Amino acid sequence: MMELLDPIVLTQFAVGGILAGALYALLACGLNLVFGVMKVINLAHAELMLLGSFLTWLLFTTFEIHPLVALPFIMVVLFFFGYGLQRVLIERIVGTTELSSLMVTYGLAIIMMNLGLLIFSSDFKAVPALQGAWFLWDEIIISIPRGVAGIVALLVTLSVYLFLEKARIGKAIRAVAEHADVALICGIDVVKIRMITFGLSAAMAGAAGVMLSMIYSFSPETGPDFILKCFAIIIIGGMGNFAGAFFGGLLLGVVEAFTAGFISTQWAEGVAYMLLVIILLVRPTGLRGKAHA
Amino acid sequence: MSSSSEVILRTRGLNRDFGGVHALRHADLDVQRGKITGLIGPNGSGKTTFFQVVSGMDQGGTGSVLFNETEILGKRPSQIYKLGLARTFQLSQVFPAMTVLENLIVAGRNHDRRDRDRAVNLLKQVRMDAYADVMGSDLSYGQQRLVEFIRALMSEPSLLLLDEPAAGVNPTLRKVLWKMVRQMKALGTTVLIIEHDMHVIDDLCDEVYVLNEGEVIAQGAFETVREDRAVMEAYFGTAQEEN
Amino acid sequence: MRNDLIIAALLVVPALFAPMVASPYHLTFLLNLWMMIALAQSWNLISGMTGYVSFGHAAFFGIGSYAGAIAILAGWPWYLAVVAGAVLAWIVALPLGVLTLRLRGPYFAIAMLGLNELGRIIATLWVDMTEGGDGIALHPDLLPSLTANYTLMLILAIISCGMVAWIYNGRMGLELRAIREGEDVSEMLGVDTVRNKVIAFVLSAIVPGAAGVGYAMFTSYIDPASVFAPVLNIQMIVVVLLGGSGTIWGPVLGAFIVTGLQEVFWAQFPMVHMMLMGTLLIVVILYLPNGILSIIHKRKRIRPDQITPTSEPAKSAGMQEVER
Repeated sequence: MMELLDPIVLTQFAVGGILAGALYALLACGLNLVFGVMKVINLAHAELMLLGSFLTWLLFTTFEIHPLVALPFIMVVLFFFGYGLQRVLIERIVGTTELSSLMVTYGLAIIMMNLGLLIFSSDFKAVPALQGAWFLWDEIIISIPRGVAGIVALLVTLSVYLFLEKARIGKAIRAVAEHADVALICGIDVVKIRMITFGLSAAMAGAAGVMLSMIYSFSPETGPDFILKCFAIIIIGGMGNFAGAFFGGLLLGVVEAFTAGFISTQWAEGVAYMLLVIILLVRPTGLRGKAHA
Repeated sequence: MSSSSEVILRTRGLNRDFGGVHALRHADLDVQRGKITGLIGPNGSGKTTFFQVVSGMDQGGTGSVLFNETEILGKRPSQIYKLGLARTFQLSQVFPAMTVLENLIVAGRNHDRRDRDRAVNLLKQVRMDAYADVMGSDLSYGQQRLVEFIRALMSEPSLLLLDEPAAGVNPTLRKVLWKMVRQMKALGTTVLIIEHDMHVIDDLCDEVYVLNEGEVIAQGAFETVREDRAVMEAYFGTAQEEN
Repeated sequence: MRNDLIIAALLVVPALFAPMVASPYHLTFLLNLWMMIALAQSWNLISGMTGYVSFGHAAFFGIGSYAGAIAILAGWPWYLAVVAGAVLAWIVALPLGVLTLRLRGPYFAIAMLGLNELGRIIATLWVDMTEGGDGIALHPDLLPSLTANYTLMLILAIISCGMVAWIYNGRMGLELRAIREGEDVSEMLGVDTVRNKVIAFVLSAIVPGAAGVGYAMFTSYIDPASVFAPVLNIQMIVVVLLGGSGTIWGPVLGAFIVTGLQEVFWAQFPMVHMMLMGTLLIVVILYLPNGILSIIHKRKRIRPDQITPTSEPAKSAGMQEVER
């Protein structure tokens, strides 16, 4: 037990946790973006991520395209996929109850997952494009795939954040999220903004999928684990809150890393569910949910 | 001050804060048994909050609420209802996917045939007996308000809180409503009513309380309250628009 | 009410005689049908009636099947194992209901989804008790005959339908529907919302708990993935929504359709079956939110424009005396 309290070991856990958490953050921010703009809880978000992973795997195994080279391409593909999905399906449930949106996207998740099983089978895939490790101060070991995946995830999340803050369309997205009716009056094409938002969210999921493919083995059935972790994160960070989802993601990554280090990796898998259940029970509207007014 | 047996609802030092905003500030009210009492004040003065706290829906209030000399602050809404306090809502809250009859029966307290009989009887009184099996969502807005009103009578409450019952109701149905309110009084039910139309208040109420920014600023007969300076200021001095 | 009993008799009487005439194949099909009805009707009891949509009701099925399988391994007779499954589901559901039903709408749905996953993980990790991912195999000698198993599922289906019908037609059904329509308003009209929700939730857990044991005995093998199964969760939802949520016969009708589809697809094309379920869910939510039964009921629905009141409200001069 003593060697676990060694500062180097602790730093090792923290760094590993933050890098893993960066992936969660990227995924959860995308999920929260959609919820913030159209109050739709997208249960198929992890399946969009896996679409990115399988595209990476296809490009890598058939054309030997490096995941980092494929990344922009996959993000563009996912953007248009999400854009189209919003147009044909999600737009129909905007403004209905959250439960109908939950059920429709649940149906979508089931369809995508099983289509994946039909095409790729339930065998696990991996994309071993990167190998090796970095050493920080000769003591702390960071596997290169995890380091690269974490840093790229952070960069993508940051870029989206800056896009939302600075770009004209980004500002329009935030306007719709905050006051859809006012945005409509100001001449913003709200329907189009929603399509762009869903596309953006899908592109973020796709980027997360590329990163995932480099560090974990995955199958079409990997989705539910991730979506539940995302829920835990956005409930911790606040539904619809971009920054909250970001820090919530990092937090979950660190908590998981420490649980894995101190207890076992299997228990680390269950931490998110326990957090989710405990938080929902303590604060039924989420940690940063609004008090009844 | 009147003796407590004549007071059906007595609030003392009733406070409700919403993150620093005082929706209710030390509100002391005495609602006299068997009378119609008006609760008036500018928009945002805390009238609906008062109903929310007294009916138990808003559990964030502090102070004391005595209903028939029983402390009800902190009790759940269903318990308060069973003690004989019923209310209506500012916006129509008829259950859309239930029939008119079901809407009424669910509010009954006998849980047997008597509830149905009473529901049918009340429907007859507002000439809506033909609508018994119509879905709540298929009613006009005015009809919904009327159903909501008689639903609040299902439990034979001793105190009825009415939150702008005539809002959105056409003049013909309004007359039915005010007539029913007077009949309730004649039969001994106490009524506390939020209403913006001062003619109605003048016509209907034995006494009024005026709220402003969560505080009681005046009370008494409408004629005297109308002349009160603080009331004039609250209504006109702050340039608040009335609807 | 009389029509309900006639339909019930028309279904149950032939079902009772089926084991004498039907082949094992057909009997198995019917067994699956009764199980589907039992599960869907249980889901209907909480989610259909109150609008609290559970995405994880398979958790109770999983808990029950593990309790039953472990009881059988411990030497209990199978019928006591069934009782054990039901009782354990009930014991787990009571505190869970008290805690989770404070959550509104999507939060409850997500919490239930999480609980199902948690159940699966615990079943996988608690190797001493559950043999983990290897699953539990039950020796055929310990298990009842196909006919007995069939009868068990039939009885569970009847119990669940009876519960729903009894509640639906009674005071509690009215209160549960009022909760679905507007929880706060119901509470202020004297409906004890907490008590009603918790009772409905606990009742909705018992039959799945028992059905889980029936399933374990029928397949003679369970593992975490097969009983805490996503397919069960989605089928419960699809069956009820397709037929008509919050109704007595909707889930029965939905179960016939979905079990039929399952028979065609599940064995050979499980993924196609699941995709079909997903598609049905989307289509029903978008185009038929009240289910197939609502099409039939729509014709019977009375609209205000069909009413010619004898006198317009309020136009009559003399109001009748208010009854006290």
